[in-house]
Amino acid sequence: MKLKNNYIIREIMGDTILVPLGDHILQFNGLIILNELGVFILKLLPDVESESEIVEKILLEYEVDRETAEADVSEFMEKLREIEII
Amino acid sequence: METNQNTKAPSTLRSGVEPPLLNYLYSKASRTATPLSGTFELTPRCNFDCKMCYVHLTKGEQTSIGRELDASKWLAIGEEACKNGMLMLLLTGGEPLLRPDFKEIYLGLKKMGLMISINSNGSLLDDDMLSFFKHNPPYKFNISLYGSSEDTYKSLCGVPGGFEKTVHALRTLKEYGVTVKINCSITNYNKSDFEGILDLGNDIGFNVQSAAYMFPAIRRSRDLIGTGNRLSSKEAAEMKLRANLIQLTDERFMKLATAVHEGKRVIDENNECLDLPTAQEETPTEHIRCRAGKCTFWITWDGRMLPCGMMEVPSVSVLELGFKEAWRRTHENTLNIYMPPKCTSCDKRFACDVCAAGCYAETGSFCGEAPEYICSMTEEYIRLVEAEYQKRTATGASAE
Repeated sequence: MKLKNNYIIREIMGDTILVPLGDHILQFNGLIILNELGVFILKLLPDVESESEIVEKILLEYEVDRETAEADVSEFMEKLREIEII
Repeated sequence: METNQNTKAPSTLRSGVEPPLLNYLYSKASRTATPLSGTFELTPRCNFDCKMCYVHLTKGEQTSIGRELDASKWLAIGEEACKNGMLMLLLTGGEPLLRPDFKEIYLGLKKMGLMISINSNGSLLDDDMLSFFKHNPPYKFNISLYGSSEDTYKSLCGVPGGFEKTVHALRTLKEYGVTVKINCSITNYNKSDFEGILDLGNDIGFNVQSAAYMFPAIRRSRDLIGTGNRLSSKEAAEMKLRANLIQLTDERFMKLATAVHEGKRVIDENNECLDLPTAQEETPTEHIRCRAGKCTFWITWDGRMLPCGMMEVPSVSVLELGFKEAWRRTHENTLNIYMPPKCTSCDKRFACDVCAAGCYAETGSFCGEAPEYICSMTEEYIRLVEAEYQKRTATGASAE
C-alpha cells in the first residue's frame, strides 16, 4: 500500500507519536499516539497490498481471533484514510 | 490508538483549548522532566513599538547587547531539543517574521516533526507569506490584534497601516483554513476598542484570548520591576470581568461566579499557564505550579535558556552548555524556586492567577513580598464577580 509522505513518526517518552506535516495539517490539526498494534500495522503498510494481508500477519504475530483483528485493522485503516496518510 | 484529532470542530472552538492528549503528554513530561515544549525567541526586534512590550529592542539596542543566533544555530538547537523530547515549539519575537531567514528556520524545524505555533503581529503576512503558510501551515498562529482601528494601532503600536494589514492577514488565513488564535492585550490605549476587537474576531471566525494583566517589562530593564505602561489593578480586574461577561455563555459565567462565591478554584481553560494536574499545595510556601522549567523552556534571541519568557532569571547559556545540560540546569533551578509564603496561605488564592514569573516581575524576588498589583487585581475581581453573582441570583430568586 502506498503511504503518503506527509507525516513523521516520533518516539517521545516511550510513546510513538504520529505528527502530520505540510498542508496536511489543515485537514488534521492534531496528533496521534500509536499503540503497539498501530506501529506494527504502519510498518507493514509499504509491503502489503490489502487489509486481509495485514490481518493474516497480525494473526501470525499476536494471540487474537480473526474477527477482532479484522475489526481493529478496519478501524485503524479508516483512521489513516481519514487523515490522508494512505 | 488514541487521537486528539479535531477535524470536525471549527477552529473557533479548538483554537483556545488544548486537547486532552496534550494534557496527558504534559503531565507525563513533567513527571519525567522531559522538555516537551519550547519557545524559540528568534529576535527581540519588531516592526511595531508597542508601549507595553516586555522584550522589544531596536536594532541598535539589540546589537549593543549581543548577536541574534543564525539559522544554523537555531536548527542545531532544534535537533538537540527533539532528541531530548521536544514535540511542541513556539516561534516568537519580537516579530519573528522580520527575520529574512524565517522560512529556512521554520521549514527546517518543521521537518523534524515538531508541532509549531507562531506568535506574530500579522502585519508582515503579505500575499507571498500567506501563500507560503497556506502550503506550509503551522499547528497554530497566535496573532495579536491591538485595536479595531488604524488610530488605535498608531497610538499603541506606533505604526500607521498596521490594522489593515493585520485584518487582511486574518481574513486570508481563515479562507485558507489555517488555525489562528487572536491575542488581545488590553491597555490604556486600546481598552475602548475591546468590544470592537471581540466583534472583529467573531466576524472573521477566530477565538480571541484577552489579557488584562501585563507583566512589568523586567527583561528590558530591572528598573521596571513592579511598574509598566498598563491599566491600574482595578481597571485590569474590570476588564477581566468584562471579557468574562462578553465571551462566556450565561451558564458558563454562572459556573465561574458560583465557584468564586464559594471560594473554589477557578479554572480558565484558555489559560496557557495552567497548573499541572500533579501540583499540590505546600506549606509554608510552594514550588512553581505551572509547566515552566518542569517540561517547558524558553530560549532567548541571544541563546539563553529560561524556564519562562516572562522571567529574567534563572538563565543558562545554551550556546556554552549545549541543550541537554542547559535543560538539566534549568529544570534543577526551577525546583529551587518558591512562591511567597503570603501567596501560598492567601485566602483569595482560588481566584488568583499569580505565578512565579509575576512575583519576580512585580517585586524583584520569587519568594519575597506578595505582588501587590496582582493582590489588588484579584481582590477587585472577586468583589466584582460577587456583585454580579448577587445581582443574578437575586433576580433569579425574585423571578421564581
